[in-house]
Amino acid sequence: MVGRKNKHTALVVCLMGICILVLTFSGNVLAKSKKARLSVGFTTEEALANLQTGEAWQYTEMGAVFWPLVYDQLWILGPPPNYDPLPMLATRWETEDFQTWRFYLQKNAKFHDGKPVKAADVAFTLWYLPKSDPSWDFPDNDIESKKLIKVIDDYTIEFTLVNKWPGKYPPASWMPILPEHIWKPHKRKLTRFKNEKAIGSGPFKLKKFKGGEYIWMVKNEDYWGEKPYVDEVVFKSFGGQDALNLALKKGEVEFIGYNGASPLSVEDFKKTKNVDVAVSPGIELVWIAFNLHKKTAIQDKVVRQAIMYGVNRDRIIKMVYLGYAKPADSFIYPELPEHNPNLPQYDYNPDVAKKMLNDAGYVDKDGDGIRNDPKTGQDIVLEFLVPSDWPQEVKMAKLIREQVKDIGIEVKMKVVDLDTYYEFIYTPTDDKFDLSISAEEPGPNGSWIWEFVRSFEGGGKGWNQSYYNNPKFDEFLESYLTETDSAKRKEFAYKLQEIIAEDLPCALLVRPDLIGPYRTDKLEGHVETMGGFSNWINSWSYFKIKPKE
Amino acid sequence: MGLRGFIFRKIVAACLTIVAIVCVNFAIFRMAPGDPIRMMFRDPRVSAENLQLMKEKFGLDKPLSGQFVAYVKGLTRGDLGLSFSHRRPVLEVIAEKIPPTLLLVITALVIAVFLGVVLGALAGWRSGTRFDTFILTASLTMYSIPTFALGIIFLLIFAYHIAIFPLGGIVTPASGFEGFELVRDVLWHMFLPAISIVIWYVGEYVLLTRSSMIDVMGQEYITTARAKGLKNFRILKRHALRNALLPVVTITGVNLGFAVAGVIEAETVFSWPGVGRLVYDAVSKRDYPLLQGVFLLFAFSVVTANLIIDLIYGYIDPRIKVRS
Repeated sequence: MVGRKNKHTALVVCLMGICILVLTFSGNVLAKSKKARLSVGFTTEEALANLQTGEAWQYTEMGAVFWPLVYDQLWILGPPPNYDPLPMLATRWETEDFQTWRFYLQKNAKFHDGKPVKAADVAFTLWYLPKSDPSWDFPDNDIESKKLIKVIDDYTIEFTLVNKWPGKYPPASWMPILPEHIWKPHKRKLTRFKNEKAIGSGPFKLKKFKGGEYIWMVKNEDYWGEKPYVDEVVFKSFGGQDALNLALKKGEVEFIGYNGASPLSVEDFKKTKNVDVAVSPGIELVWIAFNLHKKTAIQDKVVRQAIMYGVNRDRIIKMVYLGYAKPADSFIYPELPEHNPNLPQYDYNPDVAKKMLNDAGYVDKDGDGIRNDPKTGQDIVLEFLVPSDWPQEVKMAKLIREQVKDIGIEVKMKVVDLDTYYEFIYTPTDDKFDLSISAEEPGPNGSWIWEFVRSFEGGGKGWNQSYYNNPKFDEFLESYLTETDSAKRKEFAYKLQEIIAEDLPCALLVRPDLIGPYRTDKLEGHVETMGGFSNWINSWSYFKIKPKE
Repeated sequence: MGLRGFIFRKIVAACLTIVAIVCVNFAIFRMAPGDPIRMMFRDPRVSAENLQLMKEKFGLDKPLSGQFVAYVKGLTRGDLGLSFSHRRPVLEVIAEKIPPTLLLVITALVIAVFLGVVLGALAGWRSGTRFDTFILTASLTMYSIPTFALGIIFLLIFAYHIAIFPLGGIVTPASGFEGFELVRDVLWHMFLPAISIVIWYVGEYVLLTRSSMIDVMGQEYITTARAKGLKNFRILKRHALRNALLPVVTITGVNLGFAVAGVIEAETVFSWPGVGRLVYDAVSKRDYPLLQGVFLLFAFSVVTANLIIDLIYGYIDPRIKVRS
C-alpha cells in the first residue's frame, strides 16, 4: 500500500511539474499583440518611481522622455539640422520688446479628460510650476508677479518676463502645460500631487503606470494635431544594462530609452540580426570644474592651463570611449551658429605644460617628483571628485591622474556616490574638492548653461560649481542674454566662450557620441537628433515612428 | 520556570534585540556623510526656505534626541516616514513589494526544501557510494555559484539564446492580462528567478540533510531498528529522517525570516519588483528613510522567525526543556 501511495504522489508531483512547465513555456505566446507598439527600454535606475512632477521629470531619464509625450508644450524644439522652435499648443507668438510675449493657442486642443485647453491653464502652469520646484525655474519663465501673466481671452495669453528673452527661441521652453482644473487644489505645492492619471493634452495618454517597472501609453485618438503612427508606447525597465541589451537583441524593445549603449557593445550589436547602430553626436558635454574657492594652486590660471596641456584628450577618447567621442572646447556645440571656432584648443603638449609651470615658479624643490607651490612650499596634491555612478568618467579621471603626474602634479581620486557628488560640487565653498568631473546636456537652446559660470555676486543661483567670480564675464553674459540683435548676440557669445576658454574655471573635455542600437525589423521613421533617438529634446521619434510596410 | 519561563525569556530576548536594532538603525544612517535633505535636490538652486521646509517635513530640523523620540513614536504608530525617492510613506512602498518577494522566495524555498531533503537524505543514507559523491559534488557546486552569476547565465541561455523565458519583471509589461492569463504570465516570469534561488538553496539543504543524516545513521537506535529487521525505507523515513530534520527545520525558519528580506541578487538580475530590488534601488538612490524601514523589516522578520523556531524547538525537542 505504502509503495503504491508513494508512486501516486510522485505521479501527481510530476504531472504538476509538467503542467507548470507547459503553462510557463507557452507564456510568451500570450504576449503577442496586433497593435503597433513601440517598446523602449530603460534600466531600473533610470525609471520613474511615481508620476509626481518635479525633479524626476527633469533629471530621471524616463521622466524626461515621458512627460513630453503626455503633456503638450507651448512650442517644441524642432529636429535637426536647424532645431527651430515649432508651434505646439501655441499656433504662433509675438513680442515687440522681447520681454512681453503673447502666445496664441490652438482652439481645438483638449485634455485627455475632454476639457478644452485654455489660456488659464497656461497661466496657471507658468506661475505655479516654477514656484513649486526650482528645477522648473529658468530665466525664460522668470515672471515677477502673477499680475504680469494676462489671460487676454480663452486662447491668448500674454506675460512679461523679468529680463528680456531675445534669440532664436521663444520663452517658456520645455514646460508641460498642466490642466488647472486638476492641479488647482495643489497649487501651493504641485510636486506633492500624486497625479495618478497624468491627464495632459499630449499625443499619448497614460494607460497604466507601474512605478519602477513600466509605463504604458496609448495613442490619443482625439489629439488636435498630427496623431502618432504607433498605437502604443511602452517604457520598460530592466534590472541592468546587460538585460536591457539582451532585450533589444531579442526584440523586446525597439531601442534604448536615453543613454544608449556602451562603446564596448557596438560590435556585438552590429553582428545582431535586425539590429543597426546609430552613432549620433552627443548631447552631453563633459568638463573639469576647478574649485576656485579652495586655496590651492588651482586658483592660479597658469596651473589650470598647464593641466589642460597635460591632458591627452585623444588618448581619453580612444581608451575610455573607444573612439566614440569628440573633443569639446565650449558650452556651445560646434554645429551651432554661435560656436566660436577660434578658441584655444589646449592640444596635448606636456612640454608646454612643464614650461608654463616652471616659469610660474611651480618647481619640484624636494625632489619627490611633485612640484611645490611657491606660495606655500607644499606639494601640489589635488583631490579629483568623481561620482561612482559614472564609470566612464571614473576611468577618464584615472587617466587624467596618470597624465598630469607626468607634469609633476599629483591627483588623488575622490570617488563618491552620485548624491554626495552633487552635494559637494554645488557647494564649492565647503572645499570638498579641488577639481571635479562635471557633465550636462545644454541642448541647442542652451543659454541656461552659462549660469554654471555666473558669479554668485552677479546673480548666480547656485550652479556655479567652480566659484568663478568675474564681473566682466557677468556683464558680457547679461549683454548676451538681453541683446536683441542677432549679430551682436553672436559677438557676445564668442566673447563668453573666449573668456571661459582662457580663464578655465571649467575646462571642456569631450562630447561623447550617443551609441543608439535599434531594431530594424518592425518599425521605421526614427528621428535622430544630437543625443540619439530619444532624449529630452527629442520626442520626434515617438511622434514619427511607424510600422514598416 | 518550565516551558512558560522558557517562552517568556525568549520573547524578552527578542524584544530587546528589536530595541537594539531600532537604536542602531536610527544611528547608522545619521552617521553617513552628507546632508540627506541636500541630497534630495539635484538642482542646487533650491532656496534655503525650501530646504528648511523639507527638513521640517522629514523631522530633521530637531536635535538628534528629538529625532529619535519622533522616530520611535512614529514606529509605534506604524509610521516609518516618507521615502525620499518615492515621495510616499515608507510602509506603503514596502507593503506593495512584499507579496512579489514572498511569492518568489516561498515558492523557491518549498521546492528547495523538498528536493534538498530528499536528495540529502538519500545521499546520507547511501553515504560513500557513487550516488553520494555525485550529489555531494553537485550540491557543493550549486551552493558555491553566486545567484547573480547563475541568473545572468540563465538569462543568456533561456531568455536570449533559447528565448523561452522573459528577461525580467513579474508580468509582461502592458499586457493587460487578467485572471488565469495573469497567473500564467506570473509563473512564466517566475520560472528563472525561482530556479536560480532553488539551485542555491538546494545545495544548502542537501549538504545540511546529508551531514545530519550521516550523524543520525551512526546512532544506536538505527542499529536497533536494523536489528529488529525493519525495512530500509521504514528506517529511513521513521527513524533516521525524522531526527535528521531538526537542523533543517532551524535553517528553514531562518531562511523564512530572510525571505522577507528578499533575495537581492536574484531580484536585481531578473528585475523582480520585490523587497530585494527595492533595497538595491534605495541604496543606489540613498533613500535613507526607505533603507531604514526595510532594514527594520528585515531585522523584525529574522528575529520573529528565530523566536518562532526557538519556541517550536522548545516544544518538540525535550532536551531544550530539560536545559531550561
